[in-house]
Amino acid sequence: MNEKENNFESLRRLLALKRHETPPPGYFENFSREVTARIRAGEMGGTADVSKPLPWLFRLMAAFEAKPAFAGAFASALCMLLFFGIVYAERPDATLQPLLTAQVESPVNVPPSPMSLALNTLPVEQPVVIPINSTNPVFNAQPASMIFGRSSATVQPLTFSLGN
Amino acid sequence: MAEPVPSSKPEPSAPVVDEDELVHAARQGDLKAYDELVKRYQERIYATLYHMTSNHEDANDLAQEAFIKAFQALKSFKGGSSFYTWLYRIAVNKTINFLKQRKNRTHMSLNDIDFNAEHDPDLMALISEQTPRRAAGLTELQEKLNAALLKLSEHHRLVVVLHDVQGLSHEEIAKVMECNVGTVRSRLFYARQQMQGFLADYLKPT
Repeated sequence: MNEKENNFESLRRLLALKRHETPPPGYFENFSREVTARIRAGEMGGTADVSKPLPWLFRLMAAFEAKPAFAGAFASALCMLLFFGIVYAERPDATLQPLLTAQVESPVNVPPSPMSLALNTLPVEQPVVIPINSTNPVFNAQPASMIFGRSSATVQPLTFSLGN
Repeated sequence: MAEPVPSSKPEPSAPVVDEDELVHAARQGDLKAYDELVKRYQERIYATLYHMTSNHEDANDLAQEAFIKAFQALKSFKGGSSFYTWLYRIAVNKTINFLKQRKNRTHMSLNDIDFNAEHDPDLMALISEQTPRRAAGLTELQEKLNAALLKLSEHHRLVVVLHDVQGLSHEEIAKVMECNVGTVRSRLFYARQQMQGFLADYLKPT
């Protein structure tokens, strides 16, 4: 134990060297001036009235610097909010879902018009029931290849010849 | 309106303004008062940050930012602790965050050793004793010492710097680090043991 204490004493003497490490001469003469200049110019946005309240973000960041526990609590609260937001967004909407399913399963709920009655007499294909989902893209019954009419593109060899 | 504050370089006969008055004036936005506070603590704050980073440029940036942050946060300073402890806390937290971000990217930029070191009997004893460190000059010792400090974790390094270099008491360190005195003592003991291992060649008993 005594030897250990002696070793600590040697270490303490060695650490004393750190006290002799000094910054360049004149360094501290300008230090406070630089600090106050930065406060005036940058941090205060160039305004002369420094007693005006700082923006809320600066004050929040300053509070985080002073109390890391506050920063941790704030971050935890933010994570919780995000988590509940995701869970809530993933959950199916309880009020809208029965309405949507009812519309899909019984597509003809409105009284038939004379025009539709006439059309119903014609032989038509069974309508395709597409489940309605808010995340589905807008359904386009027309095939993509038919957008510009019938595809008639043909591949032909192309030759180039130099002029005379 | 803020109270008048004496000039930045007080004469020996000039009255010493109470720290509470300066803090009060600075809270009202008096930059002259804050300038006086910066002058009072700049050397100690800079030295702590320099010993933590072993880099003059980083210490300069961090010290300036700490003083600016402190000015911005003055309204939240309730006076539960001394202004000095509160300021220290801001500077130290800022530095620890900085060191965690620059992990494994350490670059030493050491200050020169002043002339007085050559007249320090403790240091001369270390160099002149019959050990492997005998051949080592002060510059080599300085590099080894800083390299050993950088191997410690931020919290252990801080305790060593504040206690063994800066000379703060355990109680003061506990206030700065917001932990109890027992934690400070145990961290100091562990840090010294680690330092002994790193600097074994320079600490061999004669």
